[in-house]
Amino acid sequence: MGVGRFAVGVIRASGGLDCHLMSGCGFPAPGAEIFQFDALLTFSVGPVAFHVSKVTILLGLVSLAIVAFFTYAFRRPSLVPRGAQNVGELGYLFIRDGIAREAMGKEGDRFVPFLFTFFFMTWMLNFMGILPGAQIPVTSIFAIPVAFALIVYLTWVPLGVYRQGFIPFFKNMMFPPGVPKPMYLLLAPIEFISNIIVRPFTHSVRLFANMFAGHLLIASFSVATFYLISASVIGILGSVASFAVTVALTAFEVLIQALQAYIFTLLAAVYISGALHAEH
Amino acid sequence: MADPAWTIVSRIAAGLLLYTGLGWLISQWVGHTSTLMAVGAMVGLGLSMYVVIAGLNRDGSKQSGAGRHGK
Repeated sequence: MGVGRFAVGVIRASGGLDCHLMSGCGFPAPGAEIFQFDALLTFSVGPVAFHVSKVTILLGLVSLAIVAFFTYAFRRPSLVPRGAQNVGELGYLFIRDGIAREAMGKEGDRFVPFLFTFFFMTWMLNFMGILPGAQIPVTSIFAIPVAFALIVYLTWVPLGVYRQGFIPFFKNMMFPPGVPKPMYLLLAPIEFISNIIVRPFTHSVRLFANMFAGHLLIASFSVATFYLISASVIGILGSVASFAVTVALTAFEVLIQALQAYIFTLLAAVYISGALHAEH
Repeated sequence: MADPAWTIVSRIAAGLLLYTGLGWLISQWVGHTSTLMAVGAMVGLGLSMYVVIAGLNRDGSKQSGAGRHGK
């Protein structure tokens, strides 16, 4: 069913069955429309209207799958981990030692659940990009990385104010040591904007743009594979080459998906670490 | 901060945004459209470079133990 639906999707995106290299049909390059989904279900609670689309459903399913997997993995924990528990512990240790302690030291242990959730949620949402049947990285819908970055932002800013105090928090942020005094007049606004305004923006865009571009690349080469099929040497060669590139890009995407989830989580840890301890 | 690499982009973006915007505002006010905006972009880029290099120096001296500023 997955492969079938994928083929139908590619054919539709390619401009129909008759659109090929020699049929006088221009290359139907996929655009932003492949990231737009119709609402399958619309309902409203009070003044708020909800539109449930494929993306919303995938978001829910991924959350459920992650909860189900880790509940299953740790249902009867034993001292010598086996099977799913082994995988779960490996994930936990990776987040604790590789991200939390790396960025914050021992104190990072308190933030492991937070980072753990972010890592696996982001990773699996990214993974939806290559799962047959799903085939849309949920994180390539900008609202989702924005929501994630906002949660991180609303964690480290209040945390910094709470731990360092309101004035010292902003003072440490805007007046880093090791700069001649008069320069602060010009530099303090840069530090403020870079930390408070640009940072949450780059945090979300980094994830979104990577997943968006990756998905668009795979879609383009899938459409090219279909479009180039025709009774000509160039057509056959081009089609086979495009197919090979699609496969290679899909493999590459697997790497990027994990990497971007790691980077997103690592940055969250670094921001929290900066809020816990002032830069000295 | 332990992340020199990640702060570079946001610092450069912040410097450019801030001083290009400032240049644009002054341009609007004075009436010489867009000249001061370009000047602002240059100044902003220069200043953000300065912030980036100062930040990297700070991190470098922290890692090597004894820094230029004796910390």
